[in-house]
Amino acid sequence: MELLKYVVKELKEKGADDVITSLNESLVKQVRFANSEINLNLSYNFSTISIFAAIKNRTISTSLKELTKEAADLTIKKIINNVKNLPKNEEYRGIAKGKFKYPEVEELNDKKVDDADPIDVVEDAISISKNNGALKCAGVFYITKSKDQILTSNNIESEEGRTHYYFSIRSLNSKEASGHSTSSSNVISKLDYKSAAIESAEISKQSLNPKEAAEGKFDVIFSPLAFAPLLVHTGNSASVYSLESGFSFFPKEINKEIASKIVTLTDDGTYKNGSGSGKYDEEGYPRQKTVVVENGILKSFLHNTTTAIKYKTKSTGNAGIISPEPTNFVLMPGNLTKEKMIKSVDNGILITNIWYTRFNNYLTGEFSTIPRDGTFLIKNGKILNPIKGLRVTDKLSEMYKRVVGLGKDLKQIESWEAESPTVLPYVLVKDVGISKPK
Amino acid sequence: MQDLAEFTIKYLQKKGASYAEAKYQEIESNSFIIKNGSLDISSFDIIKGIGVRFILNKKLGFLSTNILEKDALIKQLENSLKMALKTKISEKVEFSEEKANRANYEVKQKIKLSNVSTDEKISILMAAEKEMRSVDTKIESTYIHLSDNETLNYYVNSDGSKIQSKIPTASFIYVISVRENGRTSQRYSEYGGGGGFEVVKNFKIPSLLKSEVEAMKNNLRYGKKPPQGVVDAVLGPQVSGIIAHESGGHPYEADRIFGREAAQAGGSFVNKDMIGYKIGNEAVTIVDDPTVENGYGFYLYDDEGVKARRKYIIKNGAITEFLHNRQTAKLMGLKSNGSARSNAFDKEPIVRMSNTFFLPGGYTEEELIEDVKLGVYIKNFMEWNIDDKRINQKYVGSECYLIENGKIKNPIIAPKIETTTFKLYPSIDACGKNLEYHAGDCGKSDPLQGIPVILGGPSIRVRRVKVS
Repeated sequence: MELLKYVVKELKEKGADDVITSLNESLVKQVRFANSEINLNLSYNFSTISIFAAIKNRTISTSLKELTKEAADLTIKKIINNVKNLPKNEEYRGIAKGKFKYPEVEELNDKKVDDADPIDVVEDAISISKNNGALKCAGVFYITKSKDQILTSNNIESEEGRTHYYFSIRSLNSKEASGHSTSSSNVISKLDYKSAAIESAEISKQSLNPKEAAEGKFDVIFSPLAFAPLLVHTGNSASVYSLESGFSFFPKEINKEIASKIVTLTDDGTYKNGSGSGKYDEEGYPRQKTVVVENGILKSFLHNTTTAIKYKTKSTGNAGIISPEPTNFVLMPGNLTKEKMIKSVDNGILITNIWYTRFNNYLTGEFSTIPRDGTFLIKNGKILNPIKGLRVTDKLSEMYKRVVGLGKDLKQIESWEAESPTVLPYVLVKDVGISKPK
Repeated sequence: MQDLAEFTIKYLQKKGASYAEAKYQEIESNSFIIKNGSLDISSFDIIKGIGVRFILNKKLGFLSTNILEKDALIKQLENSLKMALKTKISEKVEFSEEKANRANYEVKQKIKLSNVSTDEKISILMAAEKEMRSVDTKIESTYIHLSDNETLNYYVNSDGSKIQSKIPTASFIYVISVRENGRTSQRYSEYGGGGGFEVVKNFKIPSLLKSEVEAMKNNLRYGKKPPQGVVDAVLGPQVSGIIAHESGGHPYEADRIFGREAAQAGGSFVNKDMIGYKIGNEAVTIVDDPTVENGYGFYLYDDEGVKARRKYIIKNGAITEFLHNRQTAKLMGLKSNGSARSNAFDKEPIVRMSNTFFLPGGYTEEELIEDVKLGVYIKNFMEWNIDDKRINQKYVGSECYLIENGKIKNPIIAPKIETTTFKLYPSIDACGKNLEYHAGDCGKSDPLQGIPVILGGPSIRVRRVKVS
């Protein structure tokens, strides 16, 4: 904290109007495995001070990796020199003003983190996958321990410790038969890697010998893992910065109907045991829960202090200093079990994972993505057989209007394809476009 | 800090490691984001750190840190060695024997990046904004991100390799949204190359972005529905480049073939016995060449100390070579062909592409087009994807035109080609002379490593492809 104080004091004395400094110290252990063997253990040990300064409405950011006064002096000098040549940031309106009372977030910091052994977890998971019928498996396990401190020129000073565990496993029974599952938690006691290993192996076995399927419109059940990348894009679209820069399919005005009545989306930076949870955002504003869509009606965008002032509203605690970012983006649950959902479908598809989602137009939400891992044809309420070679080609803005069923259980998902944290149930969407190569 | 890298190698050898390598890196970078004509943020950064990899009892370990103190590093090394020793269900890792290399090289900068003021860099972006706004259409939004960096690498391994390099690069990405007649169109693209500020000047950002807006306006204003069904297609260098990368490069990365990326970037339809397999027409030759001067994926020695060279992945339609690091080379009884890269010191080196492209043929683009009765000319694209075995792929055109009786006609809106590797490659019957290199950041591994690559090629002609 002493070095943060020094940087803020020096920059203020040299003419900065606003300064945000934060120190992140993190120690990460990682184990990678493939072909049912551990192929690499890794560790990362990093300390970084991030610095943001606004001087006469000119905004600049940098970081400091050598945590010494001498290195800080050089960086401060460079900030002052560089900022002189910058044009004004016409969009900049300021940073949060403290003090704040921060929320108590449950299950953010696990005291048992130093005892957790990544090798034991992975070796157990490999055995479980094999014992449940997988020919081989691959994946990754991370254990992260970090400490953050923040100090700003606007009376904000705080710190928090965080821990996180992320486990991902893909079981395979042939080049065309595989299943993928993940588990993530901030506390080891709630990391359910065993269920993930079992689920991935079971999907893999069930997807053996897939058949070619037809093109057309199908009612599609997306598992939480499969819908998560689309929900990540939805969360990003909720940032007012995305709206301004052409990356959002949301309309520009709130209170518009954008989804079916059963769809409620929240961004919850205080979600218990949430991967994206914390006490404060990047400018030290308290994290909170924000209702983005309520029963299909767009209610709010995600803001930091600058965008909130511009749009005459309050910050939602989602700084990103330049761009507001989602924390834990939550699709609220419905009342269906997975079995009931399948039973309700006459002509449909169950998709358990997707891969390579790309947009043709972010404004309209036109996209396509490819089902990966177990994909199953549903006829008259029953799973008929695994299928292959499909592509989902649809419009996200329209798809949300066709959501007709939501599972009753929520699962927290982060994955290789879903880069920021989401929480969601199984999702049933009517008349989804399915195409195939010719 | 070179001492720290060398100390690490000796320390690991003393602890029984059969192989050790260390990469010390300093990366100095600048970046600017202009959104809707306003400078959102200017950033600069200097990152210094070390990445270390070792083999102990045939088990592989990697660690990285930016805390460049001996005591902290020793503690981290000890923990990593302990983890390796503890592992029971473990792959037996061996590397191919390779020559020890000593080298010191750099990419020359005609105009040194550090001599160019932030003012000058920003003024190019502002000029581009002005040019775009001069087109008679409604621009919904613009987003331009310009970056440059200078990277100093010092690599050392226990075989005796010592390689120092200095590689400057510059890149920019843009997303433009245009509205006409109640409909919108978007373009996203990236440009990048190795060198000094002359690279940025060569992008000709203001005129490039103006021409993008013009093309989008014309497409929205005058575009018609594309022909439906089986027709011929002439695909411009941006499209052939993404095809070369996605289905001409990725499936031949040997680590994917051996299943190492199964839970991340996926596997491959290719198996290790497919060398010699005829996958495409005689006209198809695809290479991966890290030594392309000023290429965005340029290097002369890879991140395992192996000398880089051009690899012919597909030659005259036949699979000829996979991309290898020292581990996959050993598995196939070969020497590495220098394809190991990490995107920075903090990530493990893995098998990657560099500058991957279709070799040019003997035709002008006009000659490719004049032999098409009915077809589509797709200059560039917006949406694309491919399955994780690298078979099922889709490209949606952005700036595109109808071809009728060998002539370019009216713009057409978003023609889609959804095909497979096995159908596409035999259908490519001719390549143009107009080789172009386009830039991309290729994602692979976990944690994700976005790495600079060239996606290149000339215009190519594809016979009888389904367009919708």
